[in-house]
Amino acid sequence: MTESILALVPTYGLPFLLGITILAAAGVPVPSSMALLVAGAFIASGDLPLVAVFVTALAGALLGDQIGYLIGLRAGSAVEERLARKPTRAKHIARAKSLIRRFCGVGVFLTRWLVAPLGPITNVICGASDMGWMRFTLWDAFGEIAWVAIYLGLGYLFRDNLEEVASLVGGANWLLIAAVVALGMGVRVLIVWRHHRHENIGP
Amino acid sequence: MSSLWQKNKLLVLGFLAALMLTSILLVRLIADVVYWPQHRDTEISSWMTLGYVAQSYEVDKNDLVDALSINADVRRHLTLQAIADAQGLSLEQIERTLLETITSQRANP
Repeated sequence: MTESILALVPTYGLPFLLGITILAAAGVPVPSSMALLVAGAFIASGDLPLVAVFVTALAGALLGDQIGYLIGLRAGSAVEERLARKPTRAKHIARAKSLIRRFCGVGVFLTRWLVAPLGPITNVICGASDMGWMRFTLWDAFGEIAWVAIYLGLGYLFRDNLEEVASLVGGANWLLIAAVVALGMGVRVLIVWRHHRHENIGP
Repeated sequence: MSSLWQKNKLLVLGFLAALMLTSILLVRLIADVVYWPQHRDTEISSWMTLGYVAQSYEVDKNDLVDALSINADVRRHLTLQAIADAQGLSLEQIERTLLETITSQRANP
């Protein structure tokens, strides 16, 4: 971790937090979770005001998420218009979209705070599959409130070990993603294997 | 079994790779938890504010402010680097003053 982000938080305060949360939520690879941890530590030391930091970070994240959602919405309909000229393809696309849409509510919520690295791409995918704006924004708001609260809280509590807690939380995030992928593929392997055994044993 | 492997090479390889990655990340996470540093004084750094130092070392912030003779009307949320720049001092000088103040305050609380 660079010292610079640590210095940026107390030096530029709220405007910096607003900027970095917008950029990160819109998909630019900037360390917004780290910024929140640092902000939590500076709330503890009395250098930053809690309520203003909370509202600013939340507003930034919500704004950035809207950008990703709108990009998905626009790009999705443009791509679909070209792909769906064949009626058979249009049917497939419609089915895929409704399947994705079913998972978008919980998906948006969990990718705000539990598996935050997947947040920006989830915004685009859910926008492209025509998830309703109200539904997106509500799940998004719940998730981002959890994200801001958890990371500010961790920074506040572990203010003397910011680097360690950042590495721990980041590691846990990627572990969860890898575990879900492994689980999904494991289930698939099991299904294929069973199917295969049946074919061999069967008449 | 062998034909299962033949037909689903990519799936099985992908699964093994994901399993390996998960294990590596799990071991790293456990190591992070096991080697969590015990409470110790954090080294004073350029990005810290006086409030942060005061809290980390459990001393009164006002004493640190007085020791560096910072006017009350000056913003107090400055980083140590910014304070050093404003006072025309080096970061080392600021750190030394702070550590002296902390030591004396701890000796006579």
